[in-house]
Amino acid sequence: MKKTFLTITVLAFLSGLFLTSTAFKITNTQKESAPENLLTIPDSVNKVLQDKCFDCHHSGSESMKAKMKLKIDKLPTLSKRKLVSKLDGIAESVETKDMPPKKFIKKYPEQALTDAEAKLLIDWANGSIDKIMK
Amino acid sequence: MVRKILIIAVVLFVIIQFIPTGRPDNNPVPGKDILEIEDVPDEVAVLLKTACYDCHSQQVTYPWYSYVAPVSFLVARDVREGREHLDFGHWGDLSKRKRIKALDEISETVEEGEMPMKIYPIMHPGAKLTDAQRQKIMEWCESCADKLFE
Repeated sequence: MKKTFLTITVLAFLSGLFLTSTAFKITNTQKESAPENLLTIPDSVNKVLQDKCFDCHHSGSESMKAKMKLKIDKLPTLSKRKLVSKLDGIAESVETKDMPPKKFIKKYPEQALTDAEAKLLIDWANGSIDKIMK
Repeated sequence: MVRKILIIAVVLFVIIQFIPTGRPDNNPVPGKDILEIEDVPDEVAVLLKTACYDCHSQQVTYPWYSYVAPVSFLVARDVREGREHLDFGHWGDLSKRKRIKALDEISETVEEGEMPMKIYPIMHPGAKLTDAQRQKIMEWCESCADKLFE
């Protein structure tokens, strides 16, 4: 019993470490891409992305499928073309409620997007595309 | 015993022929196909036609076995879903950003080997793309998308 507890604590600690390190990477890449200024992620949007999307959609994700479709930490490094594609994917999948996946929300209801959060993401994605296409 | 099973199988086979498949018709609209809109080199156009158009266009050629259940159900579903994701025959209806996204997704799925679907080249050997052919498609996707920004 004690041993399992210990293992769990260690695992929790490690995953915490991992999460903070990947989270750090995001702010880092954001700074790197700043000169081009193709994409800005306001804090409010970043928080929703982090809380509700990042777990599956980042480079180190265990879900091959989710990773293939979108890696949030890589967004700031993408070309114009890729950015428009990915941002449109975000806007569309949130709009149609394809994302977050229904099955996932059933299991973790707190991971659902509120209407306000969904609107925030959609407006941000659409606005960013318009800026890039201008 | 064997005879009974055989008879049941034949009866079932005949019965399922009467279930409607919902096979989508071709409704080509002049001027809306991607080949009439974008700059597509002949080489790439041929690849798209042989490897993609049987699901992702309004020029689907249905082979004889696509009229025989249960294969007809599979074909009908693939064409329906294929067009939902991407319909080269209605390219003209897409906004610029949707075109850019479609091109990016074509490039991605072709690169990953997700498309053409593994089952398709079995009966359509021409659709079995070589690495060089995949590369051709991907390069065209990129240049075509870049032009849309101009």
